[in-house]
Amino acid sequence: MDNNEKILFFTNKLQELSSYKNGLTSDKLKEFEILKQEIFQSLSEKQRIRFNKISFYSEVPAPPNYDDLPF
Amino acid sequence: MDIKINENGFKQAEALLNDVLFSLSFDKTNLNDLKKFKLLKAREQNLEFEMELAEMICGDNNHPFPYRSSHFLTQFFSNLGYNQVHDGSTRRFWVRDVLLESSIEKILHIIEKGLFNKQDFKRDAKDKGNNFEEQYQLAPIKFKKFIEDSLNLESTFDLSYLLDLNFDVELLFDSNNQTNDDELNKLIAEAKSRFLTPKDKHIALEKIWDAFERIKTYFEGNKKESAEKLVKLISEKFDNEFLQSEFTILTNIGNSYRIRHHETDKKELVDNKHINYLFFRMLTLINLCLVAIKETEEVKSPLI
Repeated sequence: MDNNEKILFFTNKLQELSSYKNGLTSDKLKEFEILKQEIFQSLSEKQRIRFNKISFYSEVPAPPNYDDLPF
Repeated sequence: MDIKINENGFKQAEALLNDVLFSLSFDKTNLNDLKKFKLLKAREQNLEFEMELAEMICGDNNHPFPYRSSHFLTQFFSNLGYNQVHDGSTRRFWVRDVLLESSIEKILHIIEKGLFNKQDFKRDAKDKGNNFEEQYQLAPIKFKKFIEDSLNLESTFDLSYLLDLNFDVELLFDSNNQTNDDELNKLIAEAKSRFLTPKDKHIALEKIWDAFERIKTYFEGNKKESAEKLVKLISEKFDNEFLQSEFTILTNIGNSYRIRHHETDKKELVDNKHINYLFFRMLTLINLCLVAIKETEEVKSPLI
């Protein structure tokens, strides 16, 4: 990629990333992880370290099923 | 499974990508862009960049920067046009998180317009009973050191320091040229090995000079003919006269100084810096010969 292609690439990825900010759901996790991977692969070593430290979401444990309780 | 979006994480990623876009498109003739670029390099090199900057903004750790309580931190960002209200958590961690979500452009703005805000220094100096001028002069020095330290964090450790050497170690350790003359190979290997022991440096110099005399006889015929053939070989596509002169000079040094000959009329080499200089001058020439020889013939065995 030349410089202009890189700028276009990162501009697009920034927009894609931002679109998930309010709309990331569990059924979109696979495509989101692919996006993250695409971004990661294009970053420098130092930028990768910074990117890897970012937490985008956390999993919410399913509510307990009271039918399974022994009492 | 449900997920909970971490909005702060997205903001951090957006800041990172904006930094990437800046580094791809900044104007190298624009002073403001150059400032941002240097700041960005410091940010990339120093993994604690945001935390260390946060401590300055908070005025923690005996910084000359004004102490900012929760109220003043909120005011600090508000005065800069950012809607950040301190949530009561530990001040420096909260500021660090705000900085992590900020692009380098925003960070430069925070530093220039906020961190060095004169009014804040005046207030702080008055509160602490300090001399405002002194405190205000000390802050840029501290900040400059922070940037310089950040930029230098990634410098690789120079092993030569550990070994008390101050030269290009590549020639000493990595050069991998063996000849078909085992005696010559042994002399060079011993010279290199001895050189790594400070007390054996003089012996190393003697061995490398022995290697030089040996390599002069590498080719068939008498010593003069062989040496001329060697000089011709290493001079290919280069200056024959120059290398001929180098051979002569180094031969004369070997004869004049107490390197291989120990008569009383020989000059002493007492300073390690001169021994280092002569050792590497000779090793460089020998290495050139070895490379040229290797290129012209099949090498008997791989390197040590």
